[in-house]
Parts: sequence; structure tokens; C-alpha cells
Amino acid sequence: MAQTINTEVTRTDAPRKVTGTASYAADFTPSGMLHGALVTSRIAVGQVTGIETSRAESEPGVIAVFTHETLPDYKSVKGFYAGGPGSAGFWPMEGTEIKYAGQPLAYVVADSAAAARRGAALVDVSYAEGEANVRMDPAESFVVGASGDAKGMVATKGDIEAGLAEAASSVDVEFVTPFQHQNPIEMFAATAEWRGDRLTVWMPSQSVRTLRAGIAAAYDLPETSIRVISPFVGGAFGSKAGITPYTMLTIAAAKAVGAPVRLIVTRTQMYTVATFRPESVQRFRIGADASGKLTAFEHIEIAQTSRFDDVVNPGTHMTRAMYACPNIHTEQRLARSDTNTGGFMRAPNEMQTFFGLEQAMDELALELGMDPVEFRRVNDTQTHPMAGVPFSSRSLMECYDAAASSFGWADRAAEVGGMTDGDWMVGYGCATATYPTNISPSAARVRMQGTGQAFIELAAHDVGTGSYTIFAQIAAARLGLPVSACDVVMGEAHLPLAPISGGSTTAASAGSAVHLACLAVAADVARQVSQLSEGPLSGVDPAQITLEDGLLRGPDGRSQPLVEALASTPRGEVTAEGQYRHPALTDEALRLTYRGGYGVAGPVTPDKAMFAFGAEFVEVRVHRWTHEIRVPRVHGAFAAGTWLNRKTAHSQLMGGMVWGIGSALLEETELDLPRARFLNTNIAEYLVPVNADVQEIRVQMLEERDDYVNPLGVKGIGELAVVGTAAAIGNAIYHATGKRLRKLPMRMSDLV
Amino acid sequence: MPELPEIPSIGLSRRGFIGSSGVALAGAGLSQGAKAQTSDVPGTGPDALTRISFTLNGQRRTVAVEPRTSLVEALRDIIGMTGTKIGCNHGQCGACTVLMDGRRVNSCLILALTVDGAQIVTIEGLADPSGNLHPMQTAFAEKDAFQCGYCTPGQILSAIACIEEGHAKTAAEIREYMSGNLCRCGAYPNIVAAIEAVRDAQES
Amino acid sequence: MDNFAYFRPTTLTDAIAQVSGGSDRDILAGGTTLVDLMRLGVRQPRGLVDITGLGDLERYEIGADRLIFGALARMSDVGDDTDLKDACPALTESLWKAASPQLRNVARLGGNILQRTRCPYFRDTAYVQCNKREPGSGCAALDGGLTSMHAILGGSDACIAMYPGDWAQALIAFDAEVRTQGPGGGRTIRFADLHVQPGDHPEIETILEPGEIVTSIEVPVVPAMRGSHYLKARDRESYAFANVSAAVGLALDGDTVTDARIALGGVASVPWRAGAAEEVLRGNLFSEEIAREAGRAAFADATPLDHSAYKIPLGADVVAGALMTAHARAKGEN
Repeated sequence: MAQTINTEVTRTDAPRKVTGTASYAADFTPSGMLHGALVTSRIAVGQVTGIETSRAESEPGVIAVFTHETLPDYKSVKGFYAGGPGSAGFWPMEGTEIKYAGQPLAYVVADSAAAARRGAALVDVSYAEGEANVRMDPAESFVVGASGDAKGMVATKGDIEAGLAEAASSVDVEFVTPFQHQNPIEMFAATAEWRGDRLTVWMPSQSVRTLRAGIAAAYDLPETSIRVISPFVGGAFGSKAGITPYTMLTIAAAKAVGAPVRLIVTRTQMYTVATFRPESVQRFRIGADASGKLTAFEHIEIAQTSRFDDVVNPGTHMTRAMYACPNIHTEQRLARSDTNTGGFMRAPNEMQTFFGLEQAMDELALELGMDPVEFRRVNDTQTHPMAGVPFSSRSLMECYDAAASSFGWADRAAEVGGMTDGDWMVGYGCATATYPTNISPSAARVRMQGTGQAFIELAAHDVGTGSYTIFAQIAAARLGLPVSACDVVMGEAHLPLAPISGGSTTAASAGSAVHLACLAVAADVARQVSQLSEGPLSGVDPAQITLEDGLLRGPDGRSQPLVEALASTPRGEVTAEGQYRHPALTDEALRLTYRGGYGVAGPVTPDKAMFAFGAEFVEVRVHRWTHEIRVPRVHGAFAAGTWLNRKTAHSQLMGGMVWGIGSALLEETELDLPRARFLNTNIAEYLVPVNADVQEIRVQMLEERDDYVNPLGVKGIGELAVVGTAAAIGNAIYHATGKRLRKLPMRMSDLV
Repeated sequence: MPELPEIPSIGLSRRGFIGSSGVALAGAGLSQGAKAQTSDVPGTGPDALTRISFTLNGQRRTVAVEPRTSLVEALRDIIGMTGTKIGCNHGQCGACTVLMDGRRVNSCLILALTVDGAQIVTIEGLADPSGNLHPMQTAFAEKDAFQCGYCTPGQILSAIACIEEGHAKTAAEIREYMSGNLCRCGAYPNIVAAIEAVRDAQES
Repeated sequence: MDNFAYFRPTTLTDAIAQVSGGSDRDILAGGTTLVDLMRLGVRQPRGLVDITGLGDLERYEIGADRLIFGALARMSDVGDDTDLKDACPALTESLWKAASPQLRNVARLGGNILQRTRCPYFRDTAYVQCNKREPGSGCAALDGGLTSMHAILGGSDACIAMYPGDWAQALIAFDAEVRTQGPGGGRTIRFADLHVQPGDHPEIETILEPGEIVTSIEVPVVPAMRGSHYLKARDRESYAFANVSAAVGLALDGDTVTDARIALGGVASVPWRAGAAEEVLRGNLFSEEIAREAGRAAFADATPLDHSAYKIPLGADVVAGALMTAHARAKGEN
């Protein structure tokens, strides 16, 4: 059987995706389905003093209008940052209180989507308006968890002031990053259908198990009564992780009207009914001696959070893992403002912090007169600087050398402004990429048939990452089958547990479970064939039989292809489950994950630190007349353990760098300060990269072996390449123009 | 809870309150509750359902639509063909791109009434009758020109039109003329590669 | 979106009668602005008169003396026209750099020149204050709002919404005219007179009368068209509105400027002709320095707010850069 791991395999779901037959949540239409629409708050803080629904109710097609007073059986769940499955801790439509603009206040059900939206427009809400601030005040920041468990949110090693005092050069710099929204192209949608006490929910989800567990707890239903279906997700990027109010409202509305209801959230409402990347301020004080070795590293991150949740995305935990330094101080701080609760957006801890870190490192390298790459090399380390444990593998400088070479870093003019091409000022920049390797517990079931097919079942998700394909590849490699003979079933909550598709955990965690399930299949087949009266492995001690690329190998050179062995058994079919748990995973994390939460081992275990690394090099061009900033070239080299599928991995890394370009130059949720609202709540004025923004992107995938992270040696790569791009672009803008831009996004208006 | 009015629906009786009077709409409509009389004459009033006919992927279709019904709503909610996706409903993302009389358009901004008599091609209409994929579909699969796949139907139709229009001569031109289709996963370089591959195959 | 009565006339006479025949009826052509605004709840007409059945209005003609564009010609067809590109590159560049291929395939030129502002406070009905949407309600932008994409020229105390179009800048630069038909007959309007600055009545955007339909847009051919350029500065490379744009044209005698045309986009409440900047150039030898001087002159009267102050230096550079390209074209170098 041809090797399938570490090769280019076309997505197994490609035929469905190119023919329009891949079904996303809103493509399922239960019979008799009605349509929902949300009414959201105009004001940010205050009270609902009245809701006039009669005009909406008399609109043709409108079936019902629900408010906080009239929606029976509406349940909420605890917020994620309080240990629950919810996207936020405050739930709208439980009372009259308004805590953020765009908060759902009423829910209209009608016989068409257009009638529901029209009905929503006819609901008149009266308000008592309070004072609100949408932007945080960094001066009012506080340490995360100060009142309770601070979990290393403030960490100190050595003496930061002494380290700065002995530095030959140092920088003290501050960076500002904006609110950003994930904006997957698939709009948020939820369809709920009750049949008695049985509930089916179709919803694009990064965690069908979380969704089911949360709904079951809220409605006091057994999980067996609930189906959650999400076979394809049209992009998520963190926005489809938790249980949101719009989901629970739809479930309640469907129950109330006694018919299935589908809600498609409008693009504008998507900005306030789920999560986002909070704005932040990043302060760095870094010092180095004359040889370039760091003497002091301080990073204080202040990130925005809502009035009612503490959004903890600890970026300082990542930055302090990067470079060797005897004196380290980091603080993870929050400041509140009147918004819905933020959360995860692709590289939620890393994008904004590395924008700061890697520009600060560039500034310090220039202060020292060192090549930025050599500066990283001097400070590279195989030991986690804070935790003191070795990295399970770290190939950062291999990445720098590979990317520098393909990019042509050596050809750059050292001086600022030294390169031009016609009306364009040209600059080069580079930065480090990293992402923690989070390993969740996971399970998978494999049913193999002697006819040469296998079914792989697990409650994982394909949010575009290629999960369908890599699980088929893993099974194919282990079982000795073609990839096309391995049918992967995912995206339903009744399947064996797989983690949230977040934190770049799926391939490493669920992939390991598929691997173990295949081994369990082989063990079962080995046991059976050893008991047969004839056959190559007849009479062999099954403990002596191993599985190698689809071949059962016994002692004395006796072997038999697994599929042949299976065909020779009376049943001709075996089902087995794999249960994967990293040795460093705590019981607490295991328990949490199996109850719908997010438990991981890593990135730092008692033994090792697990991170993937990369280096990104960019060419930036700034136009002399328009001051437009363009990025004609991005080269990234990455090392992340085993590559499962070189085609889909390439796409993940390439797409990550496209995200990096977007974060660097385009993406910002603008604010209307007087009314405390997100302003550009659409996808025309919230700028994401278009095709013309992306030119040459070159991805190198370096070989790296890591036996510690998991049996497959895989590190997650879904978010890795996003990290560092913005800083590399900032460094290149400085190289081109001599202007250091410390605020995202970096726009032409910053260069005039 | 407000009292639930009785609405006519298409032959579905659920929980007793959704009424029974069926309005048979050609094209197998779902949840397109009748508002008033169906009319064949445009311009008779805002509450009329109007019957329109158009050619969808080579087949003639007749459906009854409200004045406000968009083409994409007619395709998805009335006809039940869900290959065409909605990403913004405001002409900002290109996910709903279909071909209308040979031109690529955003079907979310097209009123269904204005499609009367037109030729529409959607993602479902690209494979040949025996199921062989259109070369652009094959190229998208081979070049991994998508990740989540949600924008893909619109990208593929736009890509076919891009070549037809003569806007695929260089990579730079393809990038510019494919910029009306957002891909949030960032598959753009592979989309360009797929279009170049189809263009080159057509030229040779 | 509410439902509406729908009319699809096949003659101009019927169209005018139908538009005038009931209250609150809008003309529907491509619909890329109107359907969008209806779905946002910003426009709620009770009737739509779909004029795309008036096939005669789809024609356009690139003549030696005059360019004639039917109001229903599509942005894509005209923007891709190679004869027009040779005759006046600013007119094609300002079309193909606007919107997306899908939108340009649908949007018609008559609708294009009448497209509505992208002011977020106008487009989102959650903002109570918008004098353009609800006369007398105030202006959220001026009441402490974000003004980075608002007008710094031609605004008023009632409204600083920006005219977002591109093609109109090229039209106003080259003295276009608009022909219309209405209940009272036909007339010809100078393009420069078509749009109305907001003043105290931002809800009034043009001088068109109720029932009056744009039938064609006409532009006299002048030498400065061959040396023309539309430069659009924006953070995103494509499919984005201009932060600043400039439609410029130069005619030269040797290197002496005999005619200069400069219009500005992304900065004004209406299509904006920068006459003072043109005067800087006319009769003088062209140079980079005089191009920069013209750029500065174009914004001499601008009144920026905090967030839009960047548009003045950016705009000056964009005008100068556009003139550099136009100069090269006028010399036959580009």
C-alpha cells in the first residue's frame, strides 16, 4: 500500500464542495420549517422600557413575535470564561437589561426569511438609555483573576529592572491592536426542530459535543434526546465555538411555535451575537547586552473584555516562551467596556501579541546593529525560558534559514529606504511564528470490513482544515487501504468524542484517536486469526503480532495483510474504538472534555514545552504617490512535527499568512464612540483581503520529528502561520519608509 | 406569548395551528406561505405572488415569487437548490454568484421578478448530464482552491466567467477580476492556479 | 424589506407615466444600490419601475467628437471597452476599478452616477440621527462619530456624507452632460449641476424632478482625454471604495499645459471638480513640482475633521501622482 501520510492528497470532500452538494447547516430544511429573525438593541447600555410588537404581528407571514416577556422555555447556559459552554456569561432576553449594542431583544418567526426580517424591522423598542463606552480605558486595567485564581497571569523570573540596567540596548515600546471579527463567509445559522422531547439542531459548529451537552443541561434532557448536526462548516475561525444566544433563542422559538425554525443571522448582527478578537495594548520592555543576548524581557498585555466576563486569552504565555532570557516579567491584564463578550479569533493569544513582540525584537536588533535573523539566533533556546523544561522539539532557526534562503534575505539593502522600484518604496521584514501544541483527549471508532472498506466515525469537524481527508489518510495508512476506501463520518454529537475544533487541536488529538482505533482493529483481527485453524498467523500468540502499514506481522517472518486477515474471519468485519489521552493530561482536563468543555495537555507539561514554530519573510511595497501598502511576496517556513497531508497543510499555512496580511493592513472593527457601537458591521467596509491583495505566497514545510507530542508526532497548524505576519509586514514597512507603525491595521493614512 | 395567527401553507399540518389550505406552487416551494392571489401579470400590486419562468441549468422552471424575493432566495428556499450560498445578502462577498444570461451576477441583489425569461446557471448545472465535472470544478479540487468550501460555488462560477470574459490573460488580471469573490480561508493563490490551469487547457 | 408594486415598462413613455403614477415609486435599473438599501430598510418604496426593458438605452457610442452612453449601458461593458480606453483611459479606469465584476455586470451607468453614499450612519437605521435618511434628525457623524471616510469638501453642518462613486469624477472632469426625460419633456443637464451639495437639505441629492429618468450621459471629446488617468487610492487593492481618488487629464503643447482637468473622489459630498488646481497648471510648463502644487491647491478649501485630516496630504499626493501618469500619457509615453 502506498504511503499516504506526508503526501499530497486531494481532499476527499472536494467532489462535494465543487458541486454544491456539501451541505452546510442552512442547507437542511426540515418539513414545515419557519424562519426566524432577530431584533437587536440600538443602544449599548440601559433598559428596555417597552416593546411594541403589534405592527410586526400584523405583517403578512409573521407567525409570532417573542420578547423577554413572551418566550417560554428559553434557557441559557454558563459562559465559557466561567467554565460553561456559552459564548458569554450574560444572556439577552432574560430581562430588560441591555449591556451592549446589538443585543438581541426580540425574535420574530415568519413563514419566509423575508417576512421574518420585515417583521423584525416593524418591532418598536423603547429604551431608557445609560452611559456607555465601547472602547476600553487601559488606565483602568486589572490583572486577570486577581480576585481569584490568577493561574500564572503575572509571572516573574529574575529581576527585570536589574536586567534592563545591565542591557547595552533596550526598547520600551507600546503597540495597539483593534477589535476584529472573524467574519466567516458562512453566516451564523441555526435550525431547531422539536419532536416531542426530542430535539434536532443543525448549526455550523466547532464543537458539536459542547453544543449538545450544553443544550441537554439547559433543557434537562438526556443527551440521547438531542441530535446536533454540522457536517460542513463554512469557516469558523473561532466564531462558532460556544453556544450562543441566537442558538438557544431559536431552540426556544421552535418549541414555542411547534414547528422547526431556522434563523440566519444577518452579517451586521454577526458582529454582536457571537464573539470577536478584543482590542488590546501590548507593552514591551526588552534589553540585550552588546552580544545581543537578552538581559530583560517584560511584556504587559492589556486586552478588552466585557462588563460581565473575563476573556482570558493569555498572549503573554506565548511571548515568554520565545527567547532565552534570565530576567522575565509578564502580566496579563484586562480592561472592561460595553460590548458583548469577545473570545477566540484565529490565533487568539498570538496574533496581536506577536505583532508587538516581533516588531520590538526588530527594533532592538536595529539598535544593536544586528541582522534581525542573527538576533533571533543568538536568543534561540531549546529550553522554555520561563518553565525551564525543554521543548519537545523546536526548529525555529531551521525555519529562519530555510525561509531566508528562499526569500533572498541576503540580497536586501541594509539601510532603511535603500530599495525602490519605480514609484514603489521596497522593504523586507521577517518575524517568528509560533503556536502552542494543545493536545485534547479524543476518541474514534473504526469499522473495517474484509471487503476492503473502513468507516471512521468521530465527533470532529471540518471547518475547512481538511479533517475528513487526514483521518481517511491515517486510517488508510494503518489499515492498508486506499484513502478512497476510508469513509469518514463527522460533525454529529452522537459520535465518539472529539475536541473543539479550536486551538489547532483536531489533527493531533483526534488523529491520534483514529490511529489508536486502527491499532485496536488490528489487535482484534490478530486475536481472531491466531485462533483460526489455518492461515499465515494461525496459532501465533496475538501479543506478538504487530501492525505495520496494513500488514499484520508475527514472529518468524509470518505476516498477512490486515484486510486479507479480516476477510478470513467468520464475521469479516471488526469495529473498535480508540481512546487517546496524552500522558500529561490531567484527570480534571479529561473530565472537563468529556463533559463538553475544552481540556488540553500543554503547551507546557511537567516534562516538556510543546510548540510549533515558523519564520516568515515579507516584501512590502509602499507607493510613492498613493501611500498604498502592498505585499507582493510572503515566504514562510514551518516545522510542526509530522505533516499529514502536504496539500491541505500547505493551504492551512498559506491561508494563515493571508490572514496575517489582513490583520496587518486591513482588518479593524471600527467604533462609533458616542453610541458605543461597532460601526462597519458589514463585509464591504470591514476589509478582509481580496484575491488582488495576495500575490506570491511560498510555503516550506520542514521535516521535524517529535515523539513526545502524540503517537503521530503531529503539531497543530491551523493558526501557526497567522502569527508573526503582521510584525514582519511592520518591520518591512519600517525598512521601506523609516516609519515604525505600532498600531493595527497599518494603513496608508499612517504613512502620509 | 401572542396569539398565533393561522397561516396557509403548502399541505403541511403541524401542531394544528399551521393551516391547511395548500397553494400549489410549481417548483416545489417550501415555506413560501401564500400572501394573496397568484398573478401572471407583473405590476398588479405589492402583495401578489407573481409567476415567473426562467431556464435554470437548461431546464425551464416556473415559480411564484413575492416582489421582494431575491434570486438566491428563489433558488434556495422555493426551488430547494442549495448549492448557491448566501454570505452577506448585500453584494459584498460574491458567495451567491450565478451566471445570468452568461454574465456572473450576485444573486442576492437580483430580484427574482427580473429573472423572468432569463437563463440561469448555478453550481448544480456545471457537470455534464453523465456527471462529468466541468474542468473548473476538477481544477478547483486538484489545486485545493478552497478550504471550507462555502465560497466555492460562487468562486467556480465567477472563475468560468472570468475566462469567458477574457479576463484571465495573466495572474495579475485573474486576481483583479476574481476580487469580487471573498475567500475567508485565504485560498486565493490556489484559485488563481486553478483558473490558469483551465485557461491553459482551453488554449492548447 | 417590504413588498412593493412592480412595473416593467417597455417604452420610455410608459416608464415615465408609471414612475409618476403613484406615490413613492423608485426607478429600478441594475438594483445594486437600491435593492441593497431596501434590504437595509433605508429605502422602502411602494413601487418599483424596472426600466431594464428599455433596450434602446443600453447602447453606447464612442464617437470622434462625442461619447454617448445610454443610461442602461452596463459598467462592465463600458469599462472593458478598448476604444473608450484609447479615447479616454480615465473613463474606463474609473469603471473597472469600481465595485466587483459581478456588480459591474448588473449596474447600469445611469444608476452608477446616482449611487448613494456609504456613510455608515445613513446605511444603518440603528442610528437615529441622519439628516439624509430622516430630515431634521441630526447627523451622527458630526455628533462625535467616526469620520475617516467622510467628505472634507462640500459638506455642511447638516451632513458630511461622501459621494462614493468613481466614474462621476471622470465625467465631471470632462464636462459631461446628462440627458433626461420626464413628465414635462426632455432636458439636458450639465453633469456638474446634476448633484446638489447637502446644505440644509441633505435628503435632496440631485436636481432630478419626480418621474424624471436619465436616458444618456454624453461627453464631448477633448484632447486632454488621451492624457487622462483615474488614480484610486485605497487600503485594499480591489473591491473597495476610494480613500481618495483623482480623475485627471492633460493636453500639452510641447511641455506646456494647454488644458488640465482635475476631479476628486473619496473626499467630497458630490462629484468634485478642482478648478483652482487646474488653474495652477494651465499655461505653465509641466513638472513634478507644479503637479504637487496643483495637488495642494485641490485641497486648499478642504475642512477636515480629526479622522479625515489624512485625506488632505494623501489627496494632494494622489492628484500629483495622477498628473504624473497623465503627463506621460499626454506625451505618448504610457
